[in-house]
Amino acid sequence: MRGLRHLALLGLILAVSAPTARAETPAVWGLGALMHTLAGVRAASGTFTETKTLALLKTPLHSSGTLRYVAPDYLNETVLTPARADFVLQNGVATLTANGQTHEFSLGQAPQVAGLVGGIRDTLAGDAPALRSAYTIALSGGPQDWQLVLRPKDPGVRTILNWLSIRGSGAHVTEIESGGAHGDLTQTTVHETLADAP
Amino acid sequence: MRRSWLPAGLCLALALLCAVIAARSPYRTDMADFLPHAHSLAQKALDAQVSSGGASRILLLQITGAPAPTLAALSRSLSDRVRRDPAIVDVLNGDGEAMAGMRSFVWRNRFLLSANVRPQSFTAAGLHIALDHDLALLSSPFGAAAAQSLPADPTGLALSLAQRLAGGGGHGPLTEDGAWLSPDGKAALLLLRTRAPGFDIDAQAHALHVIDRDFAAARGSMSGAGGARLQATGPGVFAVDTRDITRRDVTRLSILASAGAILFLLIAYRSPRVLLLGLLPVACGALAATAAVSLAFGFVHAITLGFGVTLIGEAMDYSIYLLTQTLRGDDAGRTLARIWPTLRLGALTSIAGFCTMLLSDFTGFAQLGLFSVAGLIAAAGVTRFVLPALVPAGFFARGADGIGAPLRLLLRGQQQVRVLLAVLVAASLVALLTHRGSMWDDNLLNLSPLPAAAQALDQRLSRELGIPGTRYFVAYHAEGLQNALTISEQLQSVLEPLVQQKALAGYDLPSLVLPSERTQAARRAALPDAATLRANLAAATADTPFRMGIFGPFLEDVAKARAAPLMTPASLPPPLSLRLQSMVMPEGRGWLVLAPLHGVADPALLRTRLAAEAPRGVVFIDLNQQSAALLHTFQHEAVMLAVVGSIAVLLLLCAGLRSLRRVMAVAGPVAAAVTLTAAALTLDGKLSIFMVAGFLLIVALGSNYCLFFAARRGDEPEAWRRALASIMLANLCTVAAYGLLSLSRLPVLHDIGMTVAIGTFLCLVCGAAFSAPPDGRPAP
Repeated sequence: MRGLRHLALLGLILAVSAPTARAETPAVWGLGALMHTLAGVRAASGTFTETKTLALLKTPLHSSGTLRYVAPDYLNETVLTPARADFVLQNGVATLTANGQTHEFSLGQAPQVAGLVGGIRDTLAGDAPALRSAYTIALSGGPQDWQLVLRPKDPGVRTILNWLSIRGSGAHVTEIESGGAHGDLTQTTVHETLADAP
Repeated sequence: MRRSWLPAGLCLALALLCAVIAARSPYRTDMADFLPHAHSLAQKALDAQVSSGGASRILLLQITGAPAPTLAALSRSLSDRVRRDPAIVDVLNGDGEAMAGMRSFVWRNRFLLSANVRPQSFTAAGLHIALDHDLALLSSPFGAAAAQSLPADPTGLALSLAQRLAGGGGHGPLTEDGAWLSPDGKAALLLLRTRAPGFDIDAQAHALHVIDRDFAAARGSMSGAGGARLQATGPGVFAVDTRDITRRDVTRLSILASAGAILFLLIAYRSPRVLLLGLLPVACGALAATAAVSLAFGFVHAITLGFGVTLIGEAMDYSIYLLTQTLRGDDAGRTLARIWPTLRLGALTSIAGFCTMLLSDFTGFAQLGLFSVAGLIAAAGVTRFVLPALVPAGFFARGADGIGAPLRLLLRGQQQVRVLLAVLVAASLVALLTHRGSMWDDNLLNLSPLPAAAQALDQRLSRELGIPGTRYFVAYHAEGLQNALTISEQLQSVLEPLVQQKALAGYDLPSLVLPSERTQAARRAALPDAATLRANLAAATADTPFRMGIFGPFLEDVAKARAAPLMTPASLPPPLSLRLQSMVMPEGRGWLVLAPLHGVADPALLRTRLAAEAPRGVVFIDLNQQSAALLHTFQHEAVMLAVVGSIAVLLLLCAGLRSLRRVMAVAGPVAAAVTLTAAALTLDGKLSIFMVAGFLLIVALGSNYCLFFAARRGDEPEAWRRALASIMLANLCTVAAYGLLSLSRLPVLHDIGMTVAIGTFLCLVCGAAFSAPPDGRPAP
C-alpha cells in the first residue's frame, strides 16, 4: 500500500508541478492562471442539456434543467425534464429531492457522489489545493478554449467515476463530461446566461 | 472517680461499633442517588435518559494539535486499538469500513426493514412507478451512484432505508482520509459507545482509561504526533469528573477545615490534650452519623459525607461552650451543670431544625438531615456524659479571653451597630420584596459541578458530529417486546404525516431498527415468487429505456429474502442492537420505550395529535419542561423544609424559654441575619435550592449563639466574658469550616458553605448587637 501511495504521490507531483511552475511566471498561461480566473466568479447560472449513455439503458437518457453556482460552495442543479429532481450542494452537504423524497448526506460520507459534484464545485471555485488532493489533473488548450481532465485518486470513487472533463472559455464553463463504470458516459452542455465576474 | 469511666467505656464501645458499620458501608457519588424517586412515566424517562439511556453511553472525542492528515491517522489508529477492548461496543470515526457490517446487514434485510415492501410494490404497475423514479434519479448528479445498486434494488429500498436509519439526525461531519474532521479541520472527531451505562462510574472510568492508554500508544507509534491532544466528553466523562471533584473536594476541604478549627482551639486552650478532648464529641458524632445513615439508607452519599465537614462547626460548639466557659478555679463538671440547660435547648433546636429534612423526598436532603441529627445527638451526649470527667482538673482556657475581644469592642458601640443593622435589614427587606419572582436560579446546568468550558466542549462536539439535541420524546410502557414494537409501528403512522407537515424533522423508533415479527412476516409474504416477479418485471420494463435482463440480482435477492429467517434482537449488528436497547429498556416485568423526536418545530401540534391518534398510554415528553418541573419541586420542597424547620425551632424555644421576650431576644437577631444573608446572596446572583438548606443551618447554629447571649448568668461579669469568648470561638470555627466549603466547585457544597459562613457571622453580629449585657451596661 505504501508503494502505491508513493506512486500516486509521484503522479500527483508530475501532474501538477509543471503547470504550477509555469503559473509563477505570469506570461505563461496554466492551471494557476485558470484557477485564478475561475476564483474571480462570484455567481453564475444557466441552463443545461445532458445526455447519459448508460449500460443499464437501451437508449440514451436525455435531460435538461437549470444550474446555479454561488461562490465558493453553493451548487444547485435542477432537472426539469424528464422528471423533476432538485440537487443542492451547500457547505459540503448534498440534498437530493426527487420522487417526493428528500435525501441528505455529507459529501464526506458519500464519496461516490463527491467525486463528480465535488470536482465541479472545486473547479468553479478555482480551488487548486482541493482539486490536487482528490484528483490527478491534466490541463490542455488555452485561455479561451481550455479542458481540465480530472482523475479521482480514491479507489472507491474510481469504481463509479473514471474521469471528469470540464471544458470552458475564459471564466465560463461550457461542457462537462464524465466517464463511469461499464463505459457509462455523461455529456452535459452548459449555456451560461448570467455570470457575475469582476 | 471509678464511676465516671463507665460512660467513657460505653462511649468507646459504641464508637467502635459505629466505626465498623461506617467502614463496611457502601459510598456512592452518583448525582441521581441524590435526587427524588421517579414516580411518573415522564420522570422515569428523565431518569432513564439522564443515567442509563442510550445517550448516557455515548462518548465524544476530539483529537487536536496536529495537521489534518496526522489527526486522521491518529483517529484511525485509536479506533483500531479501542475496538479491541470489550469496554467499548462501537467506534464511529468516519471510517467507511467500520460501517460496512451495518450497511451489509441493512442491505441483506432490506425487504424486512422497509415499509415500502407491500404486495402492490411488486405488481407490474408498482414496478413501473419504481422504474420511473429510477430514471429521475439517474438523470440527477446522483445518477452514477444510483446506477450501481439499481440492478439489485430497482425499488430503491436501500436509499430510503439509509435516510430512515439516519434517524433524522442529519448528515455526519466532513470526512477526510477516512476520518471525521471538524469544519475548521483542526480536530478529528470520534463517537464511541461504551458497554456500561453512564451511571456505572467505575466502568466509565475504566473505559476512559482504556481510551487514554490507547491514545498514548497511537501517538507514540506515529511521528509528528507528539503535540496531539485528546479530549473526551459525554455523560460518562461528566460522571467520572463529578466523582473525582467530589472526592478531591471532600478530602481536601475536610482536612483544611479541621486544620483551621484546630488552630483556633490551640490558641484558645493552649493544651494539646484538651484540644483532643474537644474533638471527641465531633469524632463520635461523625462516626455515629455515618453509621446511622448507612443503616437507614443502605449507602452513604459522598455529598452527605462532605456535609459531615460542616458537623465540625456545629458539634465542635458543644465542647467549646463547655471548655471555654469554665471559670478560673472552677471545674468542668460544675460548668456543665451551669450551662447544660442552655446547651441542651440549643442542641434540641438544632436537632428539631434538621429533623424536618428527614421528611424530604429528596434523598440527599433526607440523608443530610439524618446525618446531622444523629451526629448532634451523639456529640451532645458525649459532651454531657463523657467529656467533663476527662477534662484535667484545674483546666482553664487561657487564650480564650483574647478571642472574645472583638465582641467586647462591638458591644461598646452597641447603639450605633443597632442603628446600622436596622437600616440594613430594612433595605434588605425592601430589596427582597421588590426582587421576588426572578430570585431562583432555574438553570439545571448550574447545579452541575462541571466548568462551563466542559459543557461548551460537549455542545460543540455534539453539533459537529451531527448528534441532535434531544429534548422531546415519546414514551410508553409495553408488556412484551413484540407489543412494544407494534405500538411503535402505530406511532410511526402518526409521526410520519407530521414530518411531512414539518412539525418535526425526524424521529427514531424501535420498529425502525427492528419491525415487529408480524410486520416482518407480512413483508416477507408480500414478496412474489420468482415466476410472477419475472413476468411483472418484464411487463413493467417494456415501455422504459431499461434493458431487459439487467435485473437478475433483484430476482435473486427477492428469492433469497423469501426463504430468509426474520430478524430478532439477537441478530442485529452491535450498532443497531445498541440503538434498540437505548430506546427499549426493561422496566419491572415489562418494557419502557423512549423514542427521541428530532427538530421539533411545533410541539403543541405534536402534543395534540399524539393525544388524539397515538395508542393509549403514549406520552409526549418535553425533557426541558420535566427538568424544570423537577427543579421547581426541589425549590418548593427546600422552602417548605426551611419554613417548617424554623417553626419547629420557634416552638422549641417557646417551650424551653417560657418567655415571649426571651424568645424574641433569640429569634429576632436570627431572623435579621437570615434576611441580610438572603439579600446579600441575591445581590450577586440567584438563589439555589442548596442555599435554602443553608438558611436552615443558619437558624440552627445562630439560635445557639443567641441562646448564650440571652442566658441568665447571675450578673457575673467574668461568666459573661467567658460566654462571649466561647460564642466567638464557636463562630470562628464555623465560619472557617463553611467558608472553606464555599471554595468547592460542587454547587451543593459551595452554596451551603457560602450561605452558612455569611449567615452565622451575621447571627453573631446581630446577636451581640441586640444582647443585654449584665447590669444593663456594656461589658468593660
